[in-house]
Amino acid sequence: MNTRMKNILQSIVAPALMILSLSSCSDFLDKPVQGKENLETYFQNAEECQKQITGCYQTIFWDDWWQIGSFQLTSDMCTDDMWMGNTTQDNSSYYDLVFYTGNGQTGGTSNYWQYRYKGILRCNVCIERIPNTNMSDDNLKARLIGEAKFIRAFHYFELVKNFGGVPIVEAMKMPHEVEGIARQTVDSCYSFIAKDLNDAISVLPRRSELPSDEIGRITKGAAQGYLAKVYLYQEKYEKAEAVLDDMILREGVDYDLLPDFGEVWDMDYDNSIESLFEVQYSDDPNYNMGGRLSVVCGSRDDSGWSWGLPTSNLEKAFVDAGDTERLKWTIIKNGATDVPGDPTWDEENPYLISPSKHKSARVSRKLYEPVDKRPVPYDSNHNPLNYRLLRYADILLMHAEVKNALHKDAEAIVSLNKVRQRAKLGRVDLTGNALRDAIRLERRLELALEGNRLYDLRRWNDDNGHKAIANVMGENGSFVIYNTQESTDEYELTNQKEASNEGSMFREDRDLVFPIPNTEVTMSNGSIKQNPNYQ
Amino acid sequence: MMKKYILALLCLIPMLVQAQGILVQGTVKLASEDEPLIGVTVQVKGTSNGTITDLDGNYQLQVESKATLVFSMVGFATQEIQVNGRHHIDVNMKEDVTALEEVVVVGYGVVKKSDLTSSISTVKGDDLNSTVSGNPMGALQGKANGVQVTSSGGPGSTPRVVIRGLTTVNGSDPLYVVDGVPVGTNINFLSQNDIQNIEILKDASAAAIYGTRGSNGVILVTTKKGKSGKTAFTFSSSIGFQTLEKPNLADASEYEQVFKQRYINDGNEPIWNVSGNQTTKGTDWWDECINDYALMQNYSIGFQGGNDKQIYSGSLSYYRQNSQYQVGFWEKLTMRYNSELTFNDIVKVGVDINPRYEHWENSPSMLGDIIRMDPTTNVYLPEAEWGDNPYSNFARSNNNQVWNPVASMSRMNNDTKQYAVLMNPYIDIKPIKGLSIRSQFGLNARFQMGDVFTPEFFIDNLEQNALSKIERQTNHWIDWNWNNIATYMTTLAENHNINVMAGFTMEEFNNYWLNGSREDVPSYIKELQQVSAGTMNEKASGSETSTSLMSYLFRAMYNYKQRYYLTASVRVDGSSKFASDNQYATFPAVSGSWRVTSEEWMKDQHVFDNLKIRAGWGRVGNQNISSSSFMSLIGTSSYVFGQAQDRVVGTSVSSVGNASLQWETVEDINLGVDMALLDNRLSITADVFRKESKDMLLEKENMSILGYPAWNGKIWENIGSLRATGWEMSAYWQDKINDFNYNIGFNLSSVKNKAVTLLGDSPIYAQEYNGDYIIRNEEGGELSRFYGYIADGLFQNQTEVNAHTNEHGTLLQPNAQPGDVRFKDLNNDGVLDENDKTYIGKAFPDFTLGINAKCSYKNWDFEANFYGSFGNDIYNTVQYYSGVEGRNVYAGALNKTWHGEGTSTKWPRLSVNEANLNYKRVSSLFVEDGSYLKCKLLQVGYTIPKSVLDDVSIRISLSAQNLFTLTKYSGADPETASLGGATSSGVDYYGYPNPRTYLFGVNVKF
Repeated sequence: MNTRMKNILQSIVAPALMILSLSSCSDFLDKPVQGKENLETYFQNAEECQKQITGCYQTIFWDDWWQIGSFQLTSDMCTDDMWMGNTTQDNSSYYDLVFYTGNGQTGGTSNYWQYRYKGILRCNVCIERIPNTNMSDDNLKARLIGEAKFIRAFHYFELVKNFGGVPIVEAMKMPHEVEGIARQTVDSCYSFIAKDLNDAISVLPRRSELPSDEIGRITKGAAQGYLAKVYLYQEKYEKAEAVLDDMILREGVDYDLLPDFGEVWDMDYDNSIESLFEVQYSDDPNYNMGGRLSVVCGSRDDSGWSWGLPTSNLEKAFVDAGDTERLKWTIIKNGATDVPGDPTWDEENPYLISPSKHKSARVSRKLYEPVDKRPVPYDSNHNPLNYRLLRYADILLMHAEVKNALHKDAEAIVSLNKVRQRAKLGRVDLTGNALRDAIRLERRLELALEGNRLYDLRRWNDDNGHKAIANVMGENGSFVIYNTQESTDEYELTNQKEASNEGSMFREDRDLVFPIPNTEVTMSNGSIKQNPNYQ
Repeated sequence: MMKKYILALLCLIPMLVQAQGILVQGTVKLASEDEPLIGVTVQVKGTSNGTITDLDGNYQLQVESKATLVFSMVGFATQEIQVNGRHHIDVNMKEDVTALEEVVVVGYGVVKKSDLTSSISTVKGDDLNSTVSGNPMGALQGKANGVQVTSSGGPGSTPRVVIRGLTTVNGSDPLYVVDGVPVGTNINFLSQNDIQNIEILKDASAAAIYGTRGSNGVILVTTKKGKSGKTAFTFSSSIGFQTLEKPNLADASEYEQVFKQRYINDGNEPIWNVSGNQTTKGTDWWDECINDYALMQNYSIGFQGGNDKQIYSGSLSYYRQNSQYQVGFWEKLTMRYNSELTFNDIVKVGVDINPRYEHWENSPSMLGDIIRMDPTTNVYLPEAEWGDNPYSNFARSNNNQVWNPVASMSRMNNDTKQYAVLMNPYIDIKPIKGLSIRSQFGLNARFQMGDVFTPEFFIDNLEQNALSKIERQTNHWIDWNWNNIATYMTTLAENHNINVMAGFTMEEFNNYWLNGSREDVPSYIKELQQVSAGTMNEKASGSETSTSLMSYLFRAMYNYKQRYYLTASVRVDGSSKFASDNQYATFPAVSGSWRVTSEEWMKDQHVFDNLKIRAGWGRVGNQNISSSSFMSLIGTSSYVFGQAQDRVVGTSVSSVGNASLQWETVEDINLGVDMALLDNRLSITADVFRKESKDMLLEKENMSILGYPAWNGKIWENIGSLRATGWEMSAYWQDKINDFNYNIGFNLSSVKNKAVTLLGDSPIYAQEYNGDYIIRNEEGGELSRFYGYIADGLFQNQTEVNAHTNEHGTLLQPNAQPGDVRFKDLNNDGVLDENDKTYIGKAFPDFTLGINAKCSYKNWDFEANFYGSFGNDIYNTVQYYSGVEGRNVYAGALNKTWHGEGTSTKWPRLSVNEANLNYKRVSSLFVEDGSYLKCKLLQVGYTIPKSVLDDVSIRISLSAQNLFTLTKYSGADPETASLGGATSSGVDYYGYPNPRTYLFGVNVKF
């Protein structure tokens, strides 16, 4: 063999050998994902399950104001308690719902809808997979599933309150598995929610059993409170009564009213004895784990965005009831020299809410943060004031309402007066519908600006056969008549950049629910239907 | 003289000369240019006796008087001359044009053009160079039929290249292969001066050899190589400027009137904030932000040369384009060197090395903001109110939410650099006659570093950044491929020509990234814009991804007497992007052609100089999805627990995978004809084709109720089948009348893109708009059609509003007032809803046209390129008459919008509440004809005669790109507007228009 042939052979054989050696490595095509874990191999142990549950909690309000928070405000703006308020900026993301235009294509709604269902998926993943995880502690396993069920029920309840019956998705599904899916009736949604809550109640710990590092986790009491509310919304009074009675029995052990109304929305009283369920916030600037609604609702003259301002109609309700204590802790007015709980403002340096920029020159005291307790930067999602979603005063008032509906007025009065006493108001001693109306007024005043009013107005039946909201809104609604004919409020009358006839376009045959996003109707090929009379 | 010294360095040592017989001497010249040729081999036939020509083209050789001399050189026709006792023989060498030009690069090999059986377009580098474009594909627009190129104008932007319509919704970009190295879907980095040829593999019978990545076609780029002998130096430069056309916007006083009128028309008190700018004209935000001229420059020097042992070429190019804004540019410095060494008849080695440097500052995307911004607002606060932070001295918009664009621009501080090298060492072995084995290792390595600094500033509560931030991201991409190809060619029994190829390739694509940032940098000075200077919130993240492909190739080509041709190929691809059950796929192809003019019975006809009929079938694939799409992944989601409000780390599903994902395949049939007529002066190519995809991959939006983590519920799915059917034709005429040379080419292409089946029959929606979608892609229908209500004129009076009722007399549009749009109750069911929507426009054209003409007379030359798109619509979201959200409007909006009976039939009344949804609803009101014909290039050049400059050829030229556009479209640029993906094209959001560009160019050769 001459050298040339030798060279040739070498140059052919060497690469050929390399090819063989490499191609035999069949793992050349096996490229695992770096830096992330895989769902199929997750849920191996208790720690992984706990982490997933923590991920479910995060969906309660998500991490900023626009997914859920702004819609929470919108619901109060649709009542007689709150204006959109900001009269220097475009209000189109609130306008259609607040002015009852019947337009279904609104931006805030689709965020809310989408993010509630994203939360439901996380819960579904946990509810499906935790039962198959090897975990030595069966109690922990049951509790984790219970927490996921509570959060899922919470999301569905929020959806049903706003939109009526919605599609129920119980698992992580592929798109072809939900083709042709339709909306469930309101009743079957509530049955689904009640079942999840009952499951949760049976396994969750009581609040008094929580160690301090678990404060903020869902308790049996929270699940009971929501279950009671679900029954109340369906007017299933007996069922609600049973749950509420059980809670009232443990008053002082798990829950009670704070002694002073001013403490209720004070950030130093986060997770107080009165709290059943609140969004947990931290002001660590390294992470987006705080709230922002305080900024969204704040005065433009105080670094706020001025969306969601209290009405003079609400103020009047406090004044008419002689309720100075709660008025003080609910509404701050332009030029206030004494903002309760914040020594920053005085005669020389009054609190400003420019009437030209704010429909009513009033802001909420509940979400207000005293200046020296604000995080830096303030206008970010780092505000530490926990958002209260359910508190014991609400339980007491539900209890009163249920007892009244079941003609047990004596028991109703006890609970009602507990709330009034804390507000430094005198006892009432009424019966029947007069008591019913007193309880309804008490709910408005006690829970003002906390995202309850709209759903109360939608569910309450008035004596004239209409829903309460139809007597508040609409051309002859009390709120519209007040603003267009009776009001003497200098701020609201002079600033017509947000028209005072808000609510006059309300229609009872349409506006007891919000429109669902039209994109969802379109995307479902019509199997998901829009609510009646929305365009 | 310079060149002679350089040549002297490069010249090889002459071979030994053996003296015998007579001494012959002479000069070898290049026939066409009457220049001496060096390095020509002069050999006595049948012996090893020979020499090569020297610097002046001279040779001398001792030979027998009856010998025959062979003059040879690569790239030139070999000549044999009998000495017949002569002592002086001069020779004129002719360039072997046919041999060079007729070779076409196909995947993993070359074939003679006449042997092609599939549909391949070739564009020569010289035809690209008259247009200056950051991306070589920009210059390709209109030059090849069946290839649709559309650009937008920003520096560094990548044109959209669509080859023969769309059969996938998942990226339309073809695969680019540079000198055998697959480099992905973008060749921004390549200097167009370096391109020798571009081959576009259009049908599947050609592209199937690229298997999984061939479904959008393959573009093969061959860079300039050395040529033995004639060493040439070139220098070319072009320098010029770009301009944008300014839209005619309302001034401050008209803006104020329009703004207030919107409230007045609704019976509301206007929200009006006192103007900071008291002039009636106000601030002209366009002039404040947009420069009249943006500089563009392009320089290149190159050389090529060699001899029969070594060929080489090299170049150095620089390109820079500034944006039309105060900030933003893109520049690239590219080098290329290639060399091939022939050791002997058997072994050849070579390498192309292409190091490069790119540097850019992102161009703002702010045209929309500039147009919307309130003109009554000043740029700056009054000087008395200025503070220490220069970023806070700007004014906040008085009457809308648009951020001050001058302020935004002042804060733009991003800078990205990329260093990269592309190289492909190879060895070529020809152990026996006809067999060639080639092993090539391609490396495409890139290192990128991007810095972003965001200063702290406060203009308003809603326009502020409380903490400055400094961020650096580094990215490494290391991609390699290894091709091993064996080719065997032989001819059996004289008439049977056979060429078979077999190969094995491996490819790996790796990306490594690291990102670090900190906040609260103590100062905004340049020296402190380093991550270490930040004082708070230290953050770092980083990861890597790796994907791989392993493939086996086979191809056989056969022809009988160069009349009947048959080609078959198959590629088996394995990809890491799919679950192990679905990892491998097979892509076969067959094609054939019949060269009619080679038949005996065609010998006597004089109509056709060439007539060839082609047919092909093949399958190609698409795997253009992210590497982990079949897996559901877990990410971090934390929450706060405990009395101390501590962060607790949690997790959640961060992306939902689809375990059943499989390959997308496209099946393609092509019929074509090539002909040359009238003494080769006219050549015509025509093709018809049908491409159909199966198991198409799409990251599809889904119903929100599924709860998927991605926005609008996107996950990867095999969603169905698309079909593109079409035809294309090109005609090319060239002729010469005395000193007047001219040629003109027409390209005409037409393709219809249709959805054949879609997963679960459900339409694909795209382009979300006010809580609805503009585009609906439906089974059986064309892609990217706009779907909405029909705007049926305006209500001119209350009677007309009242008349728009259903049979029960209920108003169809209860919120409407005179001046609002009447929407059609299409199905006459008495309510206006989803069912009244219909298709109101289509994004893709009926046909596209390219016209390219060149002529020259003596020293003058002239070139013109036109590109047109016909029959497409554009959904113009740029609603500049509405003043929605307090935005500024086009001048004349007060008069153009309805303001009383009979004042307008198109633009509805101004309204702040928009109760009738005139501007919010997806309707035909915004659909416009998007057809256009654009003058892409006009160029005139003058070559200074050689007699003036000794040995040096200089050409100077003036050119205008995007000089004018003939269109009815009212927006800025119908070409930019029609961009978008397969299922989401044709919606205009005011992108960066293609600027008009004027250039002065100089080309020097010596």
